[in-house]
Amino acid sequence: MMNHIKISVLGLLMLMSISITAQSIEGTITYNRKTDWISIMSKLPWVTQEDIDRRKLTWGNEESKGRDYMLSFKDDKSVYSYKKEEASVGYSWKKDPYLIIRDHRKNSFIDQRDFVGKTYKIEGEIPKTKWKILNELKEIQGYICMKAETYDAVTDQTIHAWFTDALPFFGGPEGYSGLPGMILEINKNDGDAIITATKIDLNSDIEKLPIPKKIKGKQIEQEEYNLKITDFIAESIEGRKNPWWRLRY
Amino acid sequence: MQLVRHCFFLITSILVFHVSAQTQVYNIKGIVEDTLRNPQAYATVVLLEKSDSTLMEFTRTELDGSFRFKDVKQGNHLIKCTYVGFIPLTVDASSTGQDIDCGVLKMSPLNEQLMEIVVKAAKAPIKMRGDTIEYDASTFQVPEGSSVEDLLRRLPGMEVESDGTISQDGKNISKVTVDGKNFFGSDPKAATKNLPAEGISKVQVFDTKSEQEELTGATSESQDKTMNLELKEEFKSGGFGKIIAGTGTESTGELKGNYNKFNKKIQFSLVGVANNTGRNGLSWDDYQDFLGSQSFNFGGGTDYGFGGGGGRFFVFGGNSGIEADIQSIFFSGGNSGGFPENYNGGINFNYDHKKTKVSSVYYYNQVGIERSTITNQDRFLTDFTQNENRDAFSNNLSRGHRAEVKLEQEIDSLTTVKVEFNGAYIDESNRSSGSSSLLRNDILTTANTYSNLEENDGYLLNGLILLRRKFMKKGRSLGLNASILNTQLDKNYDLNSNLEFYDDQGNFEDNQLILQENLNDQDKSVFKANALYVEPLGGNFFSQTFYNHRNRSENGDRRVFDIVGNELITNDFLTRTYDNDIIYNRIGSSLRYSNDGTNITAGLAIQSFDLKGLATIATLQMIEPVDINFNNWLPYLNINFSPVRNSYVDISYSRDANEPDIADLQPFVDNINPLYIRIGNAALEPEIQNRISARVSRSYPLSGVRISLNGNFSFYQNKFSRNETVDEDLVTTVIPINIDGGSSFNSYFSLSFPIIKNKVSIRSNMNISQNINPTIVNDFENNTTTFTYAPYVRLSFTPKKEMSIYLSARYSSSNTEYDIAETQNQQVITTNYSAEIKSRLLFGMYTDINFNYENFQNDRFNQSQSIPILNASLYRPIFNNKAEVRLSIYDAFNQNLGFNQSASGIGIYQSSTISLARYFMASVTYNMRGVKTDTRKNHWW
Repeated sequence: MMNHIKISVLGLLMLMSISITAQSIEGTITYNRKTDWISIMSKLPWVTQEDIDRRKLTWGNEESKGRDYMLSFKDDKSVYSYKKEEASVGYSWKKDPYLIIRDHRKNSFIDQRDFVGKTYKIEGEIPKTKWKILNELKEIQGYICMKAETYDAVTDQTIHAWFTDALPFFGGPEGYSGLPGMILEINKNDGDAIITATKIDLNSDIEKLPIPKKIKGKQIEQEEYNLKITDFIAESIEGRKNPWWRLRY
Repeated sequence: MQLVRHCFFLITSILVFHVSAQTQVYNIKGIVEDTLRNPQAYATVVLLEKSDSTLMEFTRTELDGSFRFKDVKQGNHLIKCTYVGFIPLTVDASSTGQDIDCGVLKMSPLNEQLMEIVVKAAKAPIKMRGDTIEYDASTFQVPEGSSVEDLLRRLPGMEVESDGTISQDGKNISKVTVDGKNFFGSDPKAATKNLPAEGISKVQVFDTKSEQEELTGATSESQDKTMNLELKEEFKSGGFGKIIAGTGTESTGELKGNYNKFNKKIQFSLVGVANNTGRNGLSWDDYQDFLGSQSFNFGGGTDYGFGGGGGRFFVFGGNSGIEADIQSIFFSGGNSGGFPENYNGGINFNYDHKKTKVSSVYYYNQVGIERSTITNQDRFLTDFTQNENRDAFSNNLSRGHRAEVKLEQEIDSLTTVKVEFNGAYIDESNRSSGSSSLLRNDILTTANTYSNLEENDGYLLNGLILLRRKFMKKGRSLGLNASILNTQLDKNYDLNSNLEFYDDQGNFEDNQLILQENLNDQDKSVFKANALYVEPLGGNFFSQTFYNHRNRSENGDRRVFDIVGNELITNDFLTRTYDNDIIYNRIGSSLRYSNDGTNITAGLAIQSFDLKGLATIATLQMIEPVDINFNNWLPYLNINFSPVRNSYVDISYSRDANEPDIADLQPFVDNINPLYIRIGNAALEPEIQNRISARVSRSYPLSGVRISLNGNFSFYQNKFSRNETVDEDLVTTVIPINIDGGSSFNSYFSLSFPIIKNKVSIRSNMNISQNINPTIVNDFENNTTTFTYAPYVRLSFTPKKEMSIYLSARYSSSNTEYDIAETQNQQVITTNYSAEIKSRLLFGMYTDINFNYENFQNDRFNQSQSIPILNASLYRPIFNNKAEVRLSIYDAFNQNLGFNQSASGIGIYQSSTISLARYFMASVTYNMRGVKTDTRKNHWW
């Protein structure tokens, strides 16, 4: 009896994946982004072990709720930005502009990003990410994910992505893409920042992706933007300022 | 030019041809099946670079399980197939050009237990290494206090015999390592039985030889396995401490130590300080080290109101005396002149685990200070000037014990309860003696010599209970709290003074000898209850409703005895009791709009005071009781938004009503001090303060420029003031009154920017304020207007790692104008220059030099007082930076003096206190975490 159920479950799973694969998927995924400030500060060259311990002691038990983002995807296109806040008791703060648009069919992107208080618009061809596929599995929101790794030379970060081939959309949060399935989690520098899927909704019919008609920002080439970031990090560290107070980690 | 272009074309063509000739391509195909030989459709197949597993291409299998990669560049490659529920399968697909047929790739299903228990239930990632699988054990729930053995029993495939022998999938685990190191002579049982499960982050089991196999590529079936237990980061370490001991000339000495041990759950710390240099030496770092996760108690403000809205803000201290909290005591004991001798110390314990937070702290402080002060005070009256000179010596000792226990429990995800208790005991003694003289237009009228002894002791008990509740409806929240505070103070003093009176020619007339014993009992109890309710109204609107109740009861009993010979005779004139009861209620509501960085709040509250006061004097004459009720409407408005990026604007209006002191309402004559008589006024009304404030800031983060401007303006209705009458014998009579008028304006402008990025920067600010204080003096209404402006500039030079220099200058000018005595208008100027150099020297030595020059000028006293202080120290880290030796000189010019000056009301005041001046000190520091040899000042970002 038990075996029968298992087989049918397996069969159902297969059917599901077939039906999923048969058409390009659409829906929304909510991601939660958390940043571990203590760990980030610990890596700054002028911070002593005593400072690190002190921060762990004082702030280590504080739990951050993180911030919610939403990826909407349809027809191999995706938009990633802040999730509209639900009612919260606290005061509202202005957020830095952040809009990541990917068209995997045309292999093109449009980003609206902040750089130290200034808004930039970056357009171009999706750069190829050099992913290494690792031998690790884990489950995120009911999906078995595999682990992949890449290195971001601009910010000096090791990026781990957990993707699932059960969702045949070759993108993910923060513009990461190029893996054989949807990325459900991004982990930067071993937990300094974790962006993880908290809600996956494949049933909502998306009529149109929430792309604004006009995307403001100073036009800049990706390479030039990357250069600004590398320079800013180097300069901040030289001046003993944590660059990540001003940059998205 | 043409030739060059041709050559270039030729070379590129050769290169391109060469490359394409080299790049041979091949095709890869195969079929994926499961162990039952069924074709595996829609399995993901990825093509990887063999050297580093870099992803090259990916595809999915067809319905018949087949896949194919076309035109793959020749080289060493791997094919990897993955499918939900199966172990990923990797095969070699390298080629030098020939097509590769991988044939049938058989995928085996993932151990079901592993899938269900590890991946799905425990949400633990699993990692495959050949055939062995490892996973994160920290996600497995085990009861508190469990050993690793208990944890292992829960892991799939793991078996633990009754004698502690461990095996996995039938293979014996012969060796256990912790963080890759052998543990207890590699007896696996010792490690698994003794280590706590909660300290483990990862359990890895691999063939004992597998590491070697990975290097050589050889595979052999091993019967023995090794288990490695990885410890959680927070269990690895966490503990620091330091001790500093110094001894110097002028019998100076300093001793300071702290020790701290913590992990994710428990924080324990000790701190102790003893010195007679007046430098308490406890910094913010020490404070954080001592209180740990309890350092910053956000949301500590339990008296709900318009602001906040559940936001987190930090409230520090605010109370003094017995009601001072540990935080403010910790930072007290700074140099206030004189010759101090301080002892402080405490112990703190925090337990912080999941839903429970417990913290307890005890702190002892003892301050002893000997002061010898000369004071000069002038008061300007319409037709004469009163001058008072005092020469006082005091010896003060105060001791305080303070303890706090807090418990916070999360009952469910929506409800939190917090209970707090704190207690304090203080005792103080102050012996003072001295002489003073009062002059009228430079002619002596009264002289006084005295020798008093004051002894106080008292305790405080306080309890608070607080409930925070959220609701399923997002944004709805409720806060309730109630607290009881009790204090009891015994203040006893012995007065021994001789007053001498002189006639208008300055000839001795008469004298009065006062020999008294004063016994004072003061009790106070305060009950508070507060409630706050926030309701989202849809869209971006919220309503916030609050209620505050406070009932303060104070009663006191003062018994005064005249000492006649050896007898104590009750002084009926001065002996009295009082019994006051103040009930305060406030209820208010506000509407808030919050969206995209804009918040607008508007609200209204009604506040009522109920004042009841009863006083008797020893002659049993009842003073007419006070029984008054006041009601006031209090509006509130706050707007904040950011008009452009990196800017912030905040504007607010609020109104407050302050109740009069009951003692001021009681219509009796208080002539404890025969030269300063106070008469109550039953007609006093609450003072209404209207406050408008604005804040604008803008930053240019890339260039490092910051600008901010703050301003606030308060104006009053029924401002509390005084009606003073000074008679010809210089006896002052004071009646508290309400007076319309009076205002205060305060503004602060700051600008900082770098001159040379990371090398030279400027920080400057300017403070401008104006206060208008109306009083009535000898029947004339006098407005005292004080206008102050204080610019400040600081230059930071950080040219290189080995040195930094900080220079600053501050100028503060305060102009005071009197309506009734324009000739007495005056200017008080304080100038301050400072320079600080931190530098690395030769032979691993460092130096800190600090020079501070302060100048006080006052045109009334026609005086200019300069105090230059130079402190310098030379230090060198020793023992691998674990310790430091330091030689210091403090106040090299031997100029230290506690100096104070101020102008207020109708008077001007100046005092100087003889203080500890030049001394040398040698000190040694030992720091478990290494001493810091930094030539930069800390900054927070």
